[in-house]
Amino acid sequence: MKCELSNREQLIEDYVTGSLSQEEMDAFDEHCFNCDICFEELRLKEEMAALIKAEGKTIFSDYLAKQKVKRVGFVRSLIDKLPRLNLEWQIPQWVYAPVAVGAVAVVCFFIAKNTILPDRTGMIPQENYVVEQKETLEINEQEQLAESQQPVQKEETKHSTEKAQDKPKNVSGGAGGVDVRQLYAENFKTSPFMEEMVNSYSVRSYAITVLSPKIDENVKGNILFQWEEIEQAPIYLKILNNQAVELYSFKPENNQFLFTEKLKPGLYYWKLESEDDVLFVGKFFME
Amino acid sequence: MTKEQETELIKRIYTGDSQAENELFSQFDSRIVRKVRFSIGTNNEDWQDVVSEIQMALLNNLREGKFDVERGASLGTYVFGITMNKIRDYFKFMKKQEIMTPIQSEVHDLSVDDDPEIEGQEIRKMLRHLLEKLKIKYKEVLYLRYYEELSVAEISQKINLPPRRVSERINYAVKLLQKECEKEKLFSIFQGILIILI
Repeated sequence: MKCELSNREQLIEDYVTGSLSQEEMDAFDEHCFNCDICFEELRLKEEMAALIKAEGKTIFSDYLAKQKVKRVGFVRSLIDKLPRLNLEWQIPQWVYAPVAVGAVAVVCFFIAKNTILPDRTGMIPQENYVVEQKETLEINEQEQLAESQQPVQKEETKHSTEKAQDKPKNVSGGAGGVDVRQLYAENFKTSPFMEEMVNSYSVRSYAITVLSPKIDENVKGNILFQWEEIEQAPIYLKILNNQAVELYSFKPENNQFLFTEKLKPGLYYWKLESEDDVLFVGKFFME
Repeated sequence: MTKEQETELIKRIYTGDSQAENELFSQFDSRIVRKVRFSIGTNNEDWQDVVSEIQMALLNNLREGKFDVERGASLGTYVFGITMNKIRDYFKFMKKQEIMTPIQSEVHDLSVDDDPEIEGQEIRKMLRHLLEKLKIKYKEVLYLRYYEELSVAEISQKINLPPRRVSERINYAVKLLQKECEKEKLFSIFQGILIILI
């Protein structure tokens, strides 16, 4: 009896690798009760896949051995390609002294460049610079905080903000100044572990839709954490620094939380957790 | 089996021909066993009981003339229907006994060596031998696909071959195995005949 299925090979492959739905599997099983060709092919492929999964390393030992030889051979060929140096006769001994002196001179130059040169050029010393920048940022944050809490005094606050902005213009923000991210470079470094968490939990946050802050959002002052939740369960909001150290933990209600504490500029991660599971992991930048 | 062959077989079973019953089971037994074992779990020892129930129900129905060829459904579909009903009955029964959870977790867990199905063991033995004889390029794609469980696209990247060629290579390897299996089966039949003759 001839089989009329045109996509038999693909169907069987999908069946064996578990890519079909239960209904599709049952339908194909029914077909196999009527079709010898499909049944034999399915059975063979199923047995083969199971056998390879169980004994693949033994059955294909020759292939695996060849792969190993290939890898070792590749490394060996790389080593062989390296120029063979015989240092004893190729480099005369008198060369060592000037090379050593040169190396010391290069090191001294870099040390001098980083410490002495800024003073000579009349620039603000690095340490004062950081303190001044920090003060400016604190003023900005306080003003933004006041702005969010007292909308009536907005005009006055705006005026003072302009003043504050005028003051640090030469040292921060502007094209000619130094970026906050440069000053707090350590705080903006990413944590590989948390990045992985963000990647996996921000995508599969099926129980939660986060409204704010968005992933990678730059925030200033107060932060409004907001989300929509499918299942009603106690949720914990946790804020972590860029080294994955937990800084704050809250138990918010009504799917939102206004965070009013001051955070230093940097990268922060945040998590939403139920009693026994992580529901969402996001991150934001405090500028 | 053609429609005419099916009708003939059913008639013979209806008239009490035991040879016809054997022919029926030789056609459908392996399908029933496979479906039952995959549905209730390959390590579940109840599979033999479920298969026996299906065989009994099938035989009783055919003996009593409950399957009407004129309705249009094929014998295969009819056997499949009975198989599915009995599997459902089994799950209902087990649910009542409240021991369904460990069984479900075993579904599709193929255990190679503890398989009580002799025919299956023979096929595996033959397959093992044939897989070992395959060329390295076929071994490579089969290993990556079914042992490392890589997708065709991943294999394609790994061995630097277009995805279409990877699929073709896998299918060709399966076809080779099928062909060799047929040969081996014929050879074993031939061997059996020789032994009987000697």
